[in-house]
Amino acid sequence: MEDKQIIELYFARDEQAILETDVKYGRLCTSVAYNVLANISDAEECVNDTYFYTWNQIPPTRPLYFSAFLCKIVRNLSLKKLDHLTAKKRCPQVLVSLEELEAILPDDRMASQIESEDLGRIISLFLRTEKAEARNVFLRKYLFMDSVSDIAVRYGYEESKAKSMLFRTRSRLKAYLKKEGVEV
Amino acid sequence: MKTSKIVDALNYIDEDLVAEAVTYRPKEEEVADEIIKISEANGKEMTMKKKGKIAKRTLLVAALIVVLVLGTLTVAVAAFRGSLSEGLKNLFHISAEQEEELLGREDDFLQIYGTEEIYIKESLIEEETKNNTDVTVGETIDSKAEEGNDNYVLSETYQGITVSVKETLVDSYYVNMVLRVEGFSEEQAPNIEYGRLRVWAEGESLGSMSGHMNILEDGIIEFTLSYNAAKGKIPGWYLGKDVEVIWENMCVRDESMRKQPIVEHTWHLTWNLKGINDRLVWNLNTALGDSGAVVENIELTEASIRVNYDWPRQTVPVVLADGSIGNEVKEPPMLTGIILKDGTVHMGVTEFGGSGYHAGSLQKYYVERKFTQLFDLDEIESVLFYKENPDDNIPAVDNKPLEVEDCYIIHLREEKMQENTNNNEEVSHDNLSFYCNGVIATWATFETDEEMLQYGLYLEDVPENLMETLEFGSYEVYVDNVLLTESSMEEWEINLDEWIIIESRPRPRKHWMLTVVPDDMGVTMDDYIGKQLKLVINDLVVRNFSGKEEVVVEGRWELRYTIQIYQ
Repeated sequence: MEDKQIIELYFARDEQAILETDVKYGRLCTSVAYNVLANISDAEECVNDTYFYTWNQIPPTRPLYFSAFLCKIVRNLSLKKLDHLTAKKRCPQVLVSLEELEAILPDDRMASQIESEDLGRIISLFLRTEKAEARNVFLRKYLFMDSVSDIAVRYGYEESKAKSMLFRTRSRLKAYLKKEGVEV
Repeated sequence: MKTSKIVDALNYIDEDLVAEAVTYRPKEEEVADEIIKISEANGKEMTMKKKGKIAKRTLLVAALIVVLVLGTLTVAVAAFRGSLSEGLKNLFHISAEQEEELLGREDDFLQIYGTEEIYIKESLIEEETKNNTDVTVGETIDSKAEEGNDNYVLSETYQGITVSVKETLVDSYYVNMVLRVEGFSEEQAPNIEYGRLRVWAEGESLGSMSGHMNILEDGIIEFTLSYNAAKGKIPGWYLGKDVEVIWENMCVRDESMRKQPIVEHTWHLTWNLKGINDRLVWNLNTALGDSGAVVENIELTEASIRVNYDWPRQTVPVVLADGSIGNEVKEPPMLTGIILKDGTVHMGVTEFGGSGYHAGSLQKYYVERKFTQLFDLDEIESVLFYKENPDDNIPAVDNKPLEVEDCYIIHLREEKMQENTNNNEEVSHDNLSFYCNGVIATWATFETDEEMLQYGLYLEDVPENLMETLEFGSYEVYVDNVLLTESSMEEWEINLDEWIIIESRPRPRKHWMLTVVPDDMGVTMDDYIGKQLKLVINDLVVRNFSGKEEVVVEGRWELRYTIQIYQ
């Protein structure tokens, strides 16, 4: 079913909307949640919460990119849940991913005035200057929290190539931020 | 910057970019489902060089295109030795002299299949009859058939389109094969691709593939494919096994560059894979200068090479674009070339292969590469390793030639050699994917911590209408070939739970999650690191209303993976 049709079901308050969302994007949502939480039951719980949240958001929200809309929700819910699972860090890869970005993004002490929204937009502008391959590898890693090996399999690379692309993209992002006046 | 702010900032990345990342696939990956790097139709991945020099790699990646011509149901199976295909000659830059020598060999290194006999599989006859096309019936004449095996199919025709195996050249690390496709006109040829191509050796995937194609006269297409089948596994594990080539659909691209099938059919070839497992193993334990890498041994065949390193996983500081310092995972000095006894230097004579740590280790590293030409092993004197760490995957920005001075040299003649090794020991290697009777089982995820192991797996191409109710007939879990039985359940808690059902896109799949928890006080997963977990699935079944099992796919699937905790 097309995204527009699914969204219309939400607007019609038809519970089939959730089933269709699950059919089309259940795997994607579960994958993002699982990448963060590394636990199936926790991931499924997050995916169910995502559907519930989506049900409450649409209407009035009418997402232009439904998949991105769902990804944002499931990622945030999963990360929030991860905070509560401090007793056991099941998925260090998520922490490593974020640490990699921490290393190139502005230090709070130096650039506390930068709003998250502005930073997100600058990163978007930067990604538009990147080749599609590099851009999507970057997004799969830091937005979808895919592991390097998953990315390598997904795109048919050797792991070393995926790592190399990520490293170079981060380096260029760092330089771009500096050029844009965002001190790093 | 605080993690929370990063997470927040990521929320503001433009949604069209995020949506793109949901579906994006590199073009070349759309062409083939497996990992595939394809050199230009008549080009070469590496520029051959003058003595002692090489122009750095210029990778040319192009779409795989299939061209076919023809229309009868005649199929070839008889083996005869005439001449080599252009594809194989190009693959190894085979000279006329070498061709003659290869054709005269009596071992199994090279196999050639001709086009002089006729063979039709029974199912094919039925299929063609249904489509009201002419059918010619012959008999199986390939060598295996003479031994009484009627199941081998070296060629199959459907609606006038024939896919057949032309040649194989197989050694300890690589399976090289030439497939021929006939049936389309020359006008159609440039636009035709396969939908999906898979190759299995008794259920196990032959791994990643590199290939190129040649268009012959009359639009006949030769696909020359090289599979890095060893990939850290046991050399030649696939030899003597029945290989299956599964070619799904003939496709063209629509305006959005998506493949659209114009002939929907699965061509299915199968034959016994012959080759040689002779290789020279040089036990060296030689340090590569001060790089920190130790070459433990080098294994050579006429057509490929494996280098085993001692190379503990490490990250090293590197200078970033803006001059600051960052970290990067380091690879050992890479294989660069060889020197022959007569002093001839061959730089860049390796291409396409696999590398990585051996299963269960973050210290023992291997690199496998196919040679771009065939070598007489007796003539190889030294192996060269580049002193820096060139990134194979990034095209060179300049054409600075490599010199011998840029390399570490390992002289093989000074070292101790283990004679021709023909090692067929029955040691299991990790196996991520297994094919049986049309259904593929694949390990999808691996998570192990101190307390439990969770491996995700899925079955692909299961009967779609039965997916929801599909179950395993039975399954067994082994650790280092020891079956975890009911009696060991005091020590282990094992669950294999249905996880999530995936609909038909991209393929019909159903997922399960295998959870293994050592349930004995004092036992942790640490005690099992480096041991191999094996899952065996027997038959796929559904249950009727009374709970009675009905087998819907008969078979046995075996997945193996070494238990490890990645930090």
